This record gives sequence, C-alpha cells and structure tokens, in this order.
Amino acid sequence: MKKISLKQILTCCAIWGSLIYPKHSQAVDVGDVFYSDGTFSSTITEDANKLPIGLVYWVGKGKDHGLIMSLKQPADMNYADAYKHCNNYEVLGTDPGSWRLPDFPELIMMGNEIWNGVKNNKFTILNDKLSKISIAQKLVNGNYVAYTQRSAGNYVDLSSGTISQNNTTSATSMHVRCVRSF
Amino acid sequence: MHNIKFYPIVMSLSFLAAASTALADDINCTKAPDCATLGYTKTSADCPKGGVKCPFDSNKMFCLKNTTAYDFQITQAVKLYDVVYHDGTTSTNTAVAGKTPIGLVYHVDPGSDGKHGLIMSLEQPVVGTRPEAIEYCNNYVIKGTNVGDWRLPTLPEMLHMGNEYSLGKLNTKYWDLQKKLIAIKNADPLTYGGAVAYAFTPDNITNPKTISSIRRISLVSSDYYVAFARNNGYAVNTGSYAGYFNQPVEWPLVGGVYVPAYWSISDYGGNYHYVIQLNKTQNNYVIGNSSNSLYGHFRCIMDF
Repeated sequence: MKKISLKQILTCCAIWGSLIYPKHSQAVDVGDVFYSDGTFSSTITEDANKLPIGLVYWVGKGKDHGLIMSLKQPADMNYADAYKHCNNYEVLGTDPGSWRLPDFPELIMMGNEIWNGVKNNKFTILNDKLSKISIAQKLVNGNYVAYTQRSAGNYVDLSSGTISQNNTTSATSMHVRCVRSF
Repeated sequence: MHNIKFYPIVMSLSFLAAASTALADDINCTKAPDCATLGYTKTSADCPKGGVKCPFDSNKMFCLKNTTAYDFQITQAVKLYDVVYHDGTTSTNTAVAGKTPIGLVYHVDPGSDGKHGLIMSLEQPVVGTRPEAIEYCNNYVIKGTNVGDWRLPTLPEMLHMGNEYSLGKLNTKYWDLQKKLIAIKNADPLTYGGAVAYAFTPDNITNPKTISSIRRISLVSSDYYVAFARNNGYAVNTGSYAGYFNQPVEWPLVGGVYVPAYWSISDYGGNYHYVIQLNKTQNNYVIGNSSNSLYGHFRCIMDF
C-alpha cells in the first residue's frame, strides 16, 4: 500500500486551497482560443469534442476575466438586426443570451489603439490568430456597429482605430461581431 | 503540576499515525500548478525593488511595486459607485469613521464578479496640457497608494464616466457619479460641459463646499480660460467673462462659456489625441481630438 507523508498531505491541501479562489485556474491572454468545453488555450485544437468558439481580445487585471469575440462574422446588418443577431447567437457549448453586441468601449478595445505613441497592433494580432482557425472569419476593414449609441449610432473602424459617433443612422448596415465576457 | 503517564501519549500518536495513513490512501494529489498561473510571471531581473519567489520555481517571481510604502489592494467584491477608502476597503457610504476616501468605483468589469474594474480619483486638478495631465497622473499619490498606482485613462476607460444610450435608452452614469462625488467630503465633481452654468438642485447637495480656490475651465480647442472662485458653496466667475455668470451659482458650478473636455492617453493620430466631453448636451459624451498644447480637464484613474 502506498503511503503518503503528512508533509505531502499538507502540500496537497495547500495546492487545492490555492485553486479554489481563481475563477480560471489558468491565466488567459489576448489571442487565446476559447473552446466549447469552456477552456482556454494559446494553441489551436479542432476536434468534435472540443471546438474553438471564440477568441480572447481583451483581458483585465489578474488575467482571470475579459472579453471574447465570436469566430463568426455575419453579413453586414443594421443596428437593430445586429442587436437581435448577437442576443440570439448560439454556438456549441454556449447558450443563447450569453453573447451580445459589444458596447462602444468594448468595441474600441477590439481594434488598434495607440497610447501616447505606442500602437498595440491588436487588429493584426487577432487576425493572425483567426486566420489559423479553420472555422473562423477574420476581422475586416470598415466600420463595426456598437451597442452603445448616440442619437444615431456609434461605430469603430477596427483596422484604423478610428472612432466615430453620431455619423450614421440606425438603418445603416455595418460589420458585426458578437462578444461575451468571462 | 500534572503528571502525565507515558503510555496514553504513545497510544494517541499511534492512532494519529493510523488515521493519517488511512486518509492518505484516499487522497490523489494533483500536479502542482505552474508559477505563471499563480501570478509569478517575472524574474529577479524584472523586479529591481524586490519580489516574492514562486514556491514551486524559485526563478519565477512576483514583483513588488515601485515603492514599498503601500501595496494598495481592493479587499472585497465591489459594486458600481462604491467609495474606495485608503485601506482598500469599499462602501456604499460616503464616509466611514477612521478611513480616508480616495476614489470612486466607476466601472466594474463584466464577468469579474465585482473583483475588477476602474477607480476614479476624487480630486480633479486644474486644467492642463496633455503632457501635464500624463505627468500629473503618473505621479499622483494619495493616502494608501503609491506613485505609479494612478494613470491617465484610455479613451474606452474614459467613456465609462459618461452617460450612454443603449437601444435608445439613456443611462444616468454621469449624473449618478456626480451625486456620489458631491456627497463625499473634499471630492471634486466631474466637469459639466454645457453652454450655460448648471446648478444642482438643493436636494442633491449634501456636502456644500466651503473652501475657496481658483480653478480654470477651458475648452481644449482654445487656451482661453475662465477663472472661478469657490466660496461658501458658491462659484463666482472672476475671469474675463465676468459678466456671463452675473449671479452666484450653487456649487458645484463646473460649466463655462466653452465646453470643457477631458484628456485621454489614447492617440487619434499624428499630433492629435482623443478628448471626451463627458456631458456636452446633458445626455451623452462627445469624442473629439486635440493637440498636446491646449488645456483640458483630466481625471486620474487606477484599475483593480
């Protein structure tokens, strides 16, 4: 019979204790793939039991929470249709209602940003990863619609990082990308 | 003094040993987590001010902050509009005995269960150029925090301070933040961006200011400024547009002839940088851009 020392037992308990608090046992980074079984990985795996369903595009402090973009991009649509599409978006492993149209700040963070002269190249980084996932569609040039409006609509050109508001009507068709938080 | 016989001790130890062996048979230890998972992502070279070594790999470290005076940490899950105190505690109350309020939670990250978000400083400095704003926030320090804890917000982070429409419905973020700021002793309100002065209704004024000071209010598209004196809860224009506000206005008067805007750290392109008028039309923010040298408002933030 294999015996375990008291020291080993205490070590084991300490490790279990450290695993209880974090929401995710693994630090998540921008560009990690979100899988249908709820896991994240920087590497791409595609099989019937574990399909990529999203891409992490922003992580908060602690890297245990953030935002995931859908891998699919529907045909361009207006604000109302985009809102409905994302609220009803369904993919293996997630329920309808768990995805949504990003609000304005969330959409800005999906594209290129420059902070005091330093460009993050996020558009390119995300597209590089999307291009390696067979079922994913890349982000494209042009304007994406945000959930947050002014009287007409807010949108962001993710590639240029240009942020616009109130320059379009709610009926204008634009690119759409659904998101969810984790 | 009690005499303890030897054999009961031996018996007890025997039972403990047997119990621990039986317990051990039922336990399957998991593999130790990697150090990066636990937050030990740096090396000693990355931590000039010292750090904590990972217990599973002494080459991996968690760096201590730039100074060792404080290690500010939020101690509990927070709610939007919670007041943040110097010891890392938070409360919906605007005053807690023995504690100094240092910030206001103005955004909680979705999916973080209240553990992460953004805190705005309670102080709003005199307007400045963008380089001045960046330097000020990078060096901003208040009880419980260190230099380096605060910074100028990015554009998306700044937008969370303003009202927003969603599905045609307006939230009241800006006004809710204002109500809370007014209620906190010595806190400065956000700057109202309207063409006329605005006075809060008396019901909203729970802590009228009594200090006297001068503050410039400016639009970043112009370096013209208007000076105001705060005096016994009133703001009186003392600048070139002295006739514009020809009567005392209830504190907090934070509007001016021009529409003021806030600096962000985000660049628009070239020598221009994103600015935000938080509440230009009393309903929503307006994003613009400006060159470095003009005057703008700014508010330091920190994430948690």
